[in-house]
Amino acid sequence: MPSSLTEHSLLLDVTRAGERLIAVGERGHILYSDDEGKSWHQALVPVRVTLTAVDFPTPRHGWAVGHEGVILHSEDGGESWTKQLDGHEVNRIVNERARSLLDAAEAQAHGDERLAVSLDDLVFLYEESEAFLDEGPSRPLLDVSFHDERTGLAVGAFGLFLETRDGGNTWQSLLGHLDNPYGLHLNHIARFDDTLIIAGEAGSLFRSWDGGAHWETLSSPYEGSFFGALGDPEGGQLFVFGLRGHLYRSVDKGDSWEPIRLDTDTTLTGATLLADGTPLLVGYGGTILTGSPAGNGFTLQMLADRRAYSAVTGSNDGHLILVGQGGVRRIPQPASL
Amino acid sequence: MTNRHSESHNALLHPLQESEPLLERFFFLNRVVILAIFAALTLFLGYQASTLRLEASFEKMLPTAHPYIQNHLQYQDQLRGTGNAVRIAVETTEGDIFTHEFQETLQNIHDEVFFINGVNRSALESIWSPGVRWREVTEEGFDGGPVLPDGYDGSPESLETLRENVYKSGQIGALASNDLRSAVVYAPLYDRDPQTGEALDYHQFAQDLERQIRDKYESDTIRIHIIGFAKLVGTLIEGASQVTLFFAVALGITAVLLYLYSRCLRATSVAITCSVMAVIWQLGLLSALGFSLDPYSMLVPFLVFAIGVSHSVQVINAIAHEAARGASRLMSSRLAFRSLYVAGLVALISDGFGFATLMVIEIQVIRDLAVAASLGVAAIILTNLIVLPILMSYVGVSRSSLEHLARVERKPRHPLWDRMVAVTNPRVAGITVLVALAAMGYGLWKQQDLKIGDLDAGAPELRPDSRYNRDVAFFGDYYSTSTDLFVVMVETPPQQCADYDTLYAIDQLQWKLQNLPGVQSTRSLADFAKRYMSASNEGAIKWHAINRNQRLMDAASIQAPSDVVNSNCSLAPVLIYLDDHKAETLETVVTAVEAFTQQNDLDGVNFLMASGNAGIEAATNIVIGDAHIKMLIWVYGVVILLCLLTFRSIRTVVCIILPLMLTSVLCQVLMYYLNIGVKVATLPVIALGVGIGVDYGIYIYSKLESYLKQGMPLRDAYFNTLNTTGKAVAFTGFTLAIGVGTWIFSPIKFQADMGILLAFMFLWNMLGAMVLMPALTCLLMPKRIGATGSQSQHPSPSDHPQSRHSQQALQEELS
Repeated sequence: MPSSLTEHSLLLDVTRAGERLIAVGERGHILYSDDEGKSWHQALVPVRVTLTAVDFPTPRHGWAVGHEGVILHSEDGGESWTKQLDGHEVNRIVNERARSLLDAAEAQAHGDERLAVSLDDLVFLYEESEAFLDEGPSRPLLDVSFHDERTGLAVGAFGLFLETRDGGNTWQSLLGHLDNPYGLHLNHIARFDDTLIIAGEAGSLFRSWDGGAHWETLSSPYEGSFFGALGDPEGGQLFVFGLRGHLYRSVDKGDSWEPIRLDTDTTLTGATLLADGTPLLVGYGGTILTGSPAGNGFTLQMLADRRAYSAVTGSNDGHLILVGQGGVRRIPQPASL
Repeated sequence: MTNRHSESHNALLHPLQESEPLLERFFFLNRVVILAIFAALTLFLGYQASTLRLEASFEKMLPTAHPYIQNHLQYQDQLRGTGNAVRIAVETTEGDIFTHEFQETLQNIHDEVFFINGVNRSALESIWSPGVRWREVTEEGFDGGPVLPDGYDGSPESLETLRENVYKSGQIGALASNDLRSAVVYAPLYDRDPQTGEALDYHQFAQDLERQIRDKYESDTIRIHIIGFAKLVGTLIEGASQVTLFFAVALGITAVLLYLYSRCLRATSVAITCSVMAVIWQLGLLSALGFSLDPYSMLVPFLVFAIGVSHSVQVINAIAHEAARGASRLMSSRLAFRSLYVAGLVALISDGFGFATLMVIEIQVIRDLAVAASLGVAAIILTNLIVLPILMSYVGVSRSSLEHLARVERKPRHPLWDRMVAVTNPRVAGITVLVALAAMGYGLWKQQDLKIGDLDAGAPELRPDSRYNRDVAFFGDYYSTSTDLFVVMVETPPQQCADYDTLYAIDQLQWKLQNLPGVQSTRSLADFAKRYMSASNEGAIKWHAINRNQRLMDAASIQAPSDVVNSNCSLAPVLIYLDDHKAETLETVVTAVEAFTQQNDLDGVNFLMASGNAGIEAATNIVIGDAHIKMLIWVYGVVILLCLLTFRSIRTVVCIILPLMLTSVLCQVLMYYLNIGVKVATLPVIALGVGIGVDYGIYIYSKLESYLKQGMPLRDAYFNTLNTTGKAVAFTGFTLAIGVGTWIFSPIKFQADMGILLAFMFLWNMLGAMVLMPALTCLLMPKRIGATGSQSQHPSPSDHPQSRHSQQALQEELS
């Protein structure tokens, strides 16, 4: 239903597609803006489930993912969308993948060389995938990231991990590629040059050096959940952040982490690099954290609306575009330190 | 038989007329016995009346037959969100609520409210209740604690912790205002008094609140705002009690006017006594029949008194005329009784029928009003048509009064009457009728813009600027939930309220409704399920969605607050908060929900309208909208039929009815301009106005006709009519208007609206009968006007052959 209210209802992610801004959220809402977030238009979307993330590797091609395992694709810069995958298919793909992994392992054939889990784990994962077939499309996808208009990854609840190499025409399950036997939620994918980082539940962190072919588990500085990660290749730094104001920085692409003390214990959810390279984070309670040039200190600002924000991006005219509870908000960029 | 009777062309009324001497003999030959019986009855009914209860029952204002209300009644016990509670906002005019002084006041108020009888203490909430907690997600799961920090001591540190806790509690907009300058004590109430087990006395409760909270704590820096159903009812009953004072005022004014009119203290006291007697009877009968008085039927004693006085005037007028011609006290009373018995009875019966047509409206307060008014009219028949002439036969009309009357009647000309007689000139009559028709056309055109329902913000029962409504406005400005609540009840099989498909449909409905103009926010089990999903995933905002995992949704429904789900998960109310309760707003919501239910057909799931104050009002508006036309058809149907039976002439009926219709139409124009909607309170006004207004027409027309039959030209007949009945009718119009007009000062808005409109109708009907009716007669019945025209002189009433004859007849009979 087209509605001016979409700008004010829950939005969960915002991204840039060339000159355009695109935001996604509750009830399948996708909005786009051609004037740096001053006004928004509603896109044509075939689903009404809550969308959690959006990514545009090119100005025209983009993907959005969301609840019930939905993956949407746009070829016109986000104005119209088609469904590429839903949760029933996701469950089937994962189940088939688990079955074939298990078959291969049981036949004691050479396992997939990329495999990171044991046989016991495989039995458990297979049983779980069967259970999800019965339960239905209950698992949300929580993030999507495309390298170009053909290659992309999507992650989600209970360890959902999908890959496409043909622009989303077919999707494969990457079950078993991560050492995630308990199916922890995978919350975010970040890129740092060719390095990929996945941040997830209970402090889980995974890294791939080769664009997603091989994954390793990083030793985590924190047992709570990470909701996001931010790569800053120019500054040579990588951030992960999550529950209760926990923010960590790595200057060695994740091998080691240093905590950054903040004056807040609100949960941090989204981040962006501003045009001048300043890292900026948002979170619940109207939290905005602006990084210092050295990267080791952040200035805290609490917006008076105290809303929970989910994601942020910078506009080309010196503003921040925040999305979250209560929709989209455009505010002047805080002066960086 | 008198000449008049034998001349009468009215066959239907013959039995009445023939019974007249019999009844007359019966009443006047047993005067002492009859007076004794009536005195005893009055004592008994007076005692009954003293036990009559004043109530303000909202249930009775509901159109109980409407399916929406049926749904509401079926589920009202399970709807907690619409439950009975009061909210007390404590506002500081200096700084915010996080000062030691303010918190001390808030604590004291919290404690006071705790001890007010009727408050459900275990559910009492404020920042100071241990049950009000903050909550946050941590690595280990949830963390939380009471909003008021342990060891709070009023120090700046503990106030700072309190501030943080309030932020984390999610109570901003609920227990603390959005601007943090006021805080709320939320007190759910028991329906029954926990001490006595009786229904809770809202009047007492509201008074307790005033005395123990507002009076005690309001100061230069602290303001108190109280809203809630119980407070509203308390205010209503208090306002209604004030109205009893108006009765004294109306009575006083009427007595003075009556004295000025009759110049006779004795007649004035008798008329007032009999009219008050009618009121006592009406109230006593109501009480004896088990009715109570409500803010609507409170109007009836005023009406009964005024109608009583108006009939008394007719009778006393007639007695004075007879006495002026030399009849004895007894004889003049008998003659007056005889000459007015039929007209009075017909008029009162048509009043009664007019009121009774209100019974077609399926709203209890209106039916109660109809019963009360009909009982009142029945009482008037006895007290003012029987007791009054009997009493007058003892006390008589004073000499000074008779001299006054003689002086007036000796005057050959009358400045006002002379001018009014002009309407019997065909040209003037034509213009008058044209103007009336134009006014009617304008009225009918404007009538389309007439609104159904209540048009002001706040509680519609009270004035927009009343204390209560100012408090409502305060909550609207500084808190997040509106007081205009519309509830859609989603009915499912037991334990299935949280089915994914149901929650999905509820969510879609909410989105559709939120997009309507006038909808502020919505709240439902679907919202809670989303929050639950988010909370059980470490508060992650991306999990804020309903989920296909049915076990999780069922778990959510178990945790859900009781205002969005019932105990066995078979009902999931969707609470819709509106900007206002204007008819358009309600109609938009109703239409949207109807369209939605037609498109979304879920097996075993029903989207039922409507509860909440706005939902009930929506149903009421629908019923009122239908009843409005139905009632007009009924009341006019009955009145036209009565006039047809009485006068047997369509033209006569047109002459009597058209002025009434003009008044009804103009009354609606007045409503339009005064921004008064058609609602429970104003719907009966037109029926009451027409019922009483037709009296004037009947009195004046029958008098006019009797003169015309004597061969008088219209002009003279009209002059004589004005001089006799006309005077009484004019007086009556003013008396009635004053009686109900005092209501304009009522603190209760609908009473004031009724007062304004009824006063308008009584005056305008009177003018219609005195000006438009003769003009219509002139145009419609040229033959009857006769050829003699205006050259004849005004005959004095004593020239009537009829009067002389009847006087003789009476003397013969008495001898």
